[in-house]
Amino acid sequence: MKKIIAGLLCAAMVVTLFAGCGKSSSDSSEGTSAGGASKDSENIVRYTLTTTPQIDPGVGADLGAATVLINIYDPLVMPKKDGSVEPWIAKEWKVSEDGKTWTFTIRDDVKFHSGNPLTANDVAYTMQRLLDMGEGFGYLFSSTIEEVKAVDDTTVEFVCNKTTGTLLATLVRLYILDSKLVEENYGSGDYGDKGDYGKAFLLENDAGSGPYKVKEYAASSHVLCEQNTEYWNELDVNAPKEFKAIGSNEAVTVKTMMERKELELTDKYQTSETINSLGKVDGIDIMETNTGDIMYLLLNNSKAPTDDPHVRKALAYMMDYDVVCNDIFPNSKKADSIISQTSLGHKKMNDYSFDIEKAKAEIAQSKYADNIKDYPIEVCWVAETPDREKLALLIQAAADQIGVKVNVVKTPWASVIENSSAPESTANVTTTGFAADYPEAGGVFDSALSSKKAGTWMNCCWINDDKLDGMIDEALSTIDTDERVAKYEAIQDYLADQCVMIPLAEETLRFAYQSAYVDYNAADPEYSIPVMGYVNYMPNIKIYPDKK
Amino acid sequence: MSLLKSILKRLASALVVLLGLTIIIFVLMRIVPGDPARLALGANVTEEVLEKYREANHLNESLPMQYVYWLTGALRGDFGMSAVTKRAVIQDITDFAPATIELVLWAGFPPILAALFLGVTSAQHKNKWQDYLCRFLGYIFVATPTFVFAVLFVLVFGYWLPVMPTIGGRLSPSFVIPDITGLYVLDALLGGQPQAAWDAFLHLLFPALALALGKTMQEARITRSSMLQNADKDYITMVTSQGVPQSVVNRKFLLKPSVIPTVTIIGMDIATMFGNAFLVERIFNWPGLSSYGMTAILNKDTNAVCAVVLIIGLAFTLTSIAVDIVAMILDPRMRQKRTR
Repeated sequence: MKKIIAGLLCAAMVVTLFAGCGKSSSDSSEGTSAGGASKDSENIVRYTLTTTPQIDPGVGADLGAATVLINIYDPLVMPKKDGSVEPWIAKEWKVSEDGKTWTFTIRDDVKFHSGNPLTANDVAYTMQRLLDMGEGFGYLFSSTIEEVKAVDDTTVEFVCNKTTGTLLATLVRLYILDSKLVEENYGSGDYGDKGDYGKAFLLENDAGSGPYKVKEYAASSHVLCEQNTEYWNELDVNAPKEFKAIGSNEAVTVKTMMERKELELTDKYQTSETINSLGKVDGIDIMETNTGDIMYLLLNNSKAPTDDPHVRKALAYMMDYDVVCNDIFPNSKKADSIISQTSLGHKKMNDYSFDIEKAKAEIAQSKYADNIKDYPIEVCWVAETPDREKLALLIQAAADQIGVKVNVVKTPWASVIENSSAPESTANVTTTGFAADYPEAGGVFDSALSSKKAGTWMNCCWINDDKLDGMIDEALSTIDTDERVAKYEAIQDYLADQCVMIPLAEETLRFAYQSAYVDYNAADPEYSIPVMGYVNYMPNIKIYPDKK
Repeated sequence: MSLLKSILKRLASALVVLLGLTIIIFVLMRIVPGDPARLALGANVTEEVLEKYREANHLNESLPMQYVYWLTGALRGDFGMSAVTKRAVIQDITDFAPATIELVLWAGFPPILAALFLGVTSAQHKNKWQDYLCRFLGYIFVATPTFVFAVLFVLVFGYWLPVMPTIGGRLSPSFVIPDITGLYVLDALLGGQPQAAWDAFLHLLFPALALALGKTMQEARITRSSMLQNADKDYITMVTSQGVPQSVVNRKFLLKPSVIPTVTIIGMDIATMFGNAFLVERIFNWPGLSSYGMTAILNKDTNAVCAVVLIIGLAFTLTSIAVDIVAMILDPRMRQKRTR
């Protein structure tokens, strides 16, 4: 008898348990209670990232940070689809005769989320903070801006130490802080009378004026932001009321959440298999876009045998670009320059194709023709990115055919950074992908080719060419856009025959999204802004909860 | 008194173990490639900023000096700043640890009853269908990695039968509960919100189940074999021959000595869950310490890794001491052995 009662009790517990689970789910659809969401709270766009992003505009500089910063802060100028910029917080600007002093006139109708008015003093404070801290996007300004002055409430001056033509383009990364609010929240720190410069406060709070404001920051899982209903620039009526950046992108979780309509957009790190399978689900489509990311083979120009341009060209001929663009990075486009086609200043510069005979001919012309076997080429691929191993193996297979020895080396990211600091430790070939931080050719030239900035994972080709450095400096200091573009093109012409690095593919970023109730214009190639983070710019996304 | 003495001895040796652990992990984290300053601040910062960071974090000092700085900080509860979250590591741990503790508590303790029940049932019905079923399930569950259960639960209860609450997080957004212990089910109950407690429990259920299944079956198997071993002993034969009913024999004379090996295994299982929960935490987007530690390792976040390893080591050591105490309480012979 006791056994029967115990059995019945167990069965009752199980039934209760699943009834409880079921209740949560059904409630969810009705939007009434535990685990559920009301129609109002369904007006949300949720997307995944690899980790919870840094939301201090003086610290965060990666993709995750950019996706949130562009929504909670206003930049001084706004990037446009064609790579140029348009007035935003700065309604107009002028530059002095010598091209060193830039004067911006600031809008006087913008308020921060705190209610404080946005003034020129806030702009100056933000720039000074970036320069003093030297972190995040500070590097874009630290070598050029000498002095920052708020002339009056609506006028701010940036004085450069040299003529700086790309200043406007880089100002898309100047996210303006509410100086009063930040100053009120200084903690103890290393910045003298400024304490921690508000770092602790800005880790979890915003001090912006952007179209969204931080509602909840959970370092361990997500950032939840709500619409700023008093935003100075009118938002579309269908712009999401809230957005949530989730700091976890495990494939199984992403798939399940998408299929349960608990996630609106996937991240760019999902495998093509995951994206393809989601694309087959009713109400989910795939958006393909290009934000200027190029997959490169960075070649060490100062280490044998890749110090010989013929060996470098031979490597370019060893790559099967069809396999790269169709199989390794599906739907990508063969890159025809080291500058993305989406960037200002792009010019077609090379036309390498997979041709073993030409590769053999180039090796024959090199100074290593007789003893190439004594110089194995080290090809390093970043251990955390398994698809890049395929690139390395592709080179190895082709090199085998012409008697060139290739050592494929799996290298952890931390070691890639360490090795890139000196030419001796940098591999002959490093597989890397990146885009410029601002949509101009100058962004790549400055960060990845100028020998003044050599020694980073982006700049490890060790070109050491004074003429090239001079050309880059000259272009970056040209104020007139057309003239600057002409100089960018000249640099590409100059590099065309040197093959200092091999651009392989303009990466097509693929996102799955809830097409049944979301208009994903932010990533639609027809409207998208080719600057990191803008595929998640919420004012350019529309959501229709009723269609859910 | 002998029990107290034994505990004190165990605590003293635990301190030495923890000290050794910190030395090993600190040296390992410092010698693996990658400039911690560059990794923390990114590729584009100037050498001046990097130098300032190295100076502030004593990275220019010799390795032993760096360890001394780290250890003195750690003793004050200051583990330095995390290179990933840019916050004080202790603040991160305070935020992340309760989620893992709650997960481990639910995955560790309630299944003990299930393990004992299955183990005893299996032993009592040796070579009958109950025994075969328990053993069959035992083989399958023990052999299946934890993450497979996690993926399976997400697939079955999250996708096919959408009965699982929203994946990610520990509580539905519609609830706000007081932050008392950091353990959501308990906090919700203490705050007088049974609905929120139920919601938190549902969020916990499948991650805890995924973590517990394999270990529970392992514990059941050990209980079974221990029961069977003890059943053949002379004192059991004697008690049975004196006409003591079988249920009393089982409960009073057989179960108690038979659970000692199980208790030891349970302790170790609970302790290892702290470090091994990362895959489950990843899959369920559970914001716990293991997941935090994993991210720290991948990003060579030295301060965070050292702190997480120390905390997990501490949990492991304390659990094993607790297991010893329980074993000593259960079996007086062990107390005598320890103090001899």
